[in-house]
Amino acid sequence: MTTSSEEFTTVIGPDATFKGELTFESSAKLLGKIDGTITAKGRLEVAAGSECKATISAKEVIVQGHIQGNVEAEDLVELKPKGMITGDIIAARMSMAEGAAIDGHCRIGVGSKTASLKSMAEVKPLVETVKAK
Amino acid sequence: MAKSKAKAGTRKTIRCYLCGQELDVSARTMSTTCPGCNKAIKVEDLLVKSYLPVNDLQTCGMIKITKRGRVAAKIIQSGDGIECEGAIEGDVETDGHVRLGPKASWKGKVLRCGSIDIAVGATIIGELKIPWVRKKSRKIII
Repeated sequence: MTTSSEEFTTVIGPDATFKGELTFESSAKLLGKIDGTITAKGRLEVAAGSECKATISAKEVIVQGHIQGNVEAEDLVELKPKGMITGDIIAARMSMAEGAAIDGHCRIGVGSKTASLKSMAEVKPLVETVKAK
Repeated sequence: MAKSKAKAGTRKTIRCYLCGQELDVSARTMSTTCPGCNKAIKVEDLLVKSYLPVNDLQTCGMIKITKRGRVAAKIIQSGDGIECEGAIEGDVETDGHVRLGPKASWKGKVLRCGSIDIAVGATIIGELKIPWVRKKSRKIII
């Protein structure tokens, strides 16, 4: 644990429960239970066993635990084998391992940096246009 | 006297994309009638090389979409998975694996699949439900 936690400036331990707004200036690793809003300018890792009922906004989000809420990543969302996200995702890139789970709306790739979660509701598939023809 | 000379091991198990019925067919089967719902189903693999606007694109096999391929459909159903280098517009349902290449894009309401592999540069717009498994029903051997 010492080697992995050295990579992160902040580590929230497995016995911690937090309710409210969390802001990190760089990277952070979450092992406990979080309820609220999380903002990180760097990398955010939700470790295995951790439960986040939060709206997350970070540069990179690595998920090994369970996130229940919307995730907005400037760069990458990475789901490890037992990672799970129940909520909407906005990211420039996404990687998903075998065994990971997603249940929610996604906006990955071009234009996602400028997109916001509010604009996701406006997305309509082109299928309806084809059907009308 | 022409007799079928299907060797052991040249058969495969497929699942009807309409009712979920499992059935054993020859590996060379291109289409068959599902004993569960009595409807014609495609078994062959599909390759899309250009623009294909259809209502439904369904097969028990695999769907491959090349770089220049573009599928616009109400629903795209596949048994063995989807490999896409081009574009897909419409809802996707597959028991297998979905692989989206670097220039691939998907846009639709829901994408349901067993697992997904998204290359850097791929675009996704819509709801993902992963993992997803079609409801199983009893197996019939034809």
